[in-house]
Amino acid sequence: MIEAYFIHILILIGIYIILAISLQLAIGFTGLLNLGHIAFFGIGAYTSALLTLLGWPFWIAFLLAGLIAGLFGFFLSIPTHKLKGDYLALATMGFSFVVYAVLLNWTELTRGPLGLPGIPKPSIFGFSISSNLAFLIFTIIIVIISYLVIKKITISPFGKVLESVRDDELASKTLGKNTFKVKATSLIVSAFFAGIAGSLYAHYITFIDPSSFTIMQLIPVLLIVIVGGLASLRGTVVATIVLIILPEILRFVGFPSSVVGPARQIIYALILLLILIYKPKGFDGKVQLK
Amino acid sequence: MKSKNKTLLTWLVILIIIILVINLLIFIPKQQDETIKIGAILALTGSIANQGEWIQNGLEFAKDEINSNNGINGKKIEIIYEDAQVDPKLAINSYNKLRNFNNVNIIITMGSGVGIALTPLVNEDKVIQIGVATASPDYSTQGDFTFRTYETADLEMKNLATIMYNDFNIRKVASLYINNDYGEGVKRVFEEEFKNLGGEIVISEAFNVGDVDFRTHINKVKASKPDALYIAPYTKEGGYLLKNSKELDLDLQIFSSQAIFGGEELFTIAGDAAEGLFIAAPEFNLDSGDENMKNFIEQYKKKYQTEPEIYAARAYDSVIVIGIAIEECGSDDKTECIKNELFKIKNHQGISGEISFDENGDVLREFELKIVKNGKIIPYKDIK
Repeated sequence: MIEAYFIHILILIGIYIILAISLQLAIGFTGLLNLGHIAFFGIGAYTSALLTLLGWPFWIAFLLAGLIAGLFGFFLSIPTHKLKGDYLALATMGFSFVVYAVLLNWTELTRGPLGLPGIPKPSIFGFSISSNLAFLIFTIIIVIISYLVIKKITISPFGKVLESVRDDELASKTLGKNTFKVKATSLIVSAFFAGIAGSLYAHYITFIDPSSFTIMQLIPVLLIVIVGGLASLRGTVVATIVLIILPEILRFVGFPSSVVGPARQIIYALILLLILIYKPKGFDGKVQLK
Repeated sequence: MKSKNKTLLTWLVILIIIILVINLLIFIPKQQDETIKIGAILALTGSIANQGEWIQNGLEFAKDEINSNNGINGKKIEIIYEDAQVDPKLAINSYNKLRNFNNVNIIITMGSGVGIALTPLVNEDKVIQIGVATASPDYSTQGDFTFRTYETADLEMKNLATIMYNDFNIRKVASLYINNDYGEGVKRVFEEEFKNLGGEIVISEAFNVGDVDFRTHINKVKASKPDALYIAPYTKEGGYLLKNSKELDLDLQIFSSQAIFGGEELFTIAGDAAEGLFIAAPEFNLDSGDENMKNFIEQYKKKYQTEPEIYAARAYDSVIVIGIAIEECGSDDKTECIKNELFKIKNHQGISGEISFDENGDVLREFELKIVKNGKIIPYKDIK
């Protein structure tokens, strides 16, 4: 029975790895401080959940979750392509508020704050992924594909262009690079994988409501990116594992019942602080954002 | 750089070792005890941590009471708390830990999202789940091992709509509700029911959790010329709503759903603007004069230095009814039997009111109309 617990934690780690490495592509490799990432996650989750509840096959819903999130990534890149740093962060944060408000208030479609219960467990080509072990295997496959694709992008010549945009956008413009196109592509790919992660999340938990897609839910992902180190995929994966397992270890500390909730939070925050004091660049950080 | 790496690593290793040692010292010996373990997945931090604390107080209170009376069949109760901040994914983490490491067979949860997300898991594992702050209608039909001692939106609102239509002759209602699972859930039932009776909803507007300014809402209500105002807020928002409506001279009878309850906060915010407010609520009455209730209040005050909230009362009653069911079955791992025993519970005199479970595992209980008079919430029938 104990393995059920580990399987669950591993699935969560898998979902968060996809979410974090896709955010890493935007922040670490392209220098886009995108605080709207959680909105793509939400769009993916809702797309996939609504379509499968309408009876669409899972694999179509799964791919559409990524594609529609990617489409919104494209929409977001148009108005924000001239913004940098803090301004970009604010604009993308605004985007996540808008998406949250739509999920919350478009009650005819999303059932608003009541959320969507009873999302079916996935099945692909007649092969049902209903047990958690099967879901874990499926998640691992998706994680590996996502990792390889993003890795491939970052080590390709295009990846170097991304990094040049991050380090000096003006310089890459003078070299004749279309920086709008470069940044838009990065954001679309990043959003696509966030949408995929959202779909996995929706079909695993089988219940979603708008509160799972607020800016507060982005903070752990952002933490993973920073603790893992900017522009390092390996660091991101390690950070995901550490930051998801850490609070789980804290569950086994026997605090008195009156302080159990806050005490765990305090220790968690303390460990994070220690990591950031001793390793300001994260586990494996390559660069520092200006 | 290298040495810094090492210090960090040493720190982490030391920390983890300390945690594991503490864990071994505290956690393992307990596990060997013969106790009845109940898992509680509550919001102990985050936006509704205050409700979580009331519920925790209620659970602890029931635990201490049962344990000082020699436990259940001689076994003591142990409650293991997990914090899930009403986040379904954290709740599943908590559940898996409770189930697989603590071997609990009974869990108590708060929040509709958490309850609904856990339902498929508890039904598969045959674990009893009792929701103590779970209003959503979606929780009812979900399965057999889930119960709740919190009233469904149906129960709460059908009653109120009927009273408003028949006893107060109200035909046109303006409706303001909080935009979360609670507000949306009760407002849907209320509006549906009121329309079925032949009434009209002239305006229906949502406000957000944490809002403190309701002038726009109230002006819209005024413009729509209703016979009465229906509100479904939490305590804080409700307080400001009442305050604003007095400032703007809104001359309407106001009817609220029960979540506006929340101790003194309502009166500290709204002051005398709360006077005359009608509330549909269970027959939980601190001044009822009932012996059990008197005892409960006295002991509770002694322990926590505050008056008990109805959340605490529901949590307390939940543990008591579980205790009754386990006593019948002899052991807490016979969950199939406990489930059947819980379904058999009819008209149990609890602190939060009478408790009976229907076929969905939802609590059935009498509602009554209350009114705020001189800074106190009293049954309306007492002044009529």
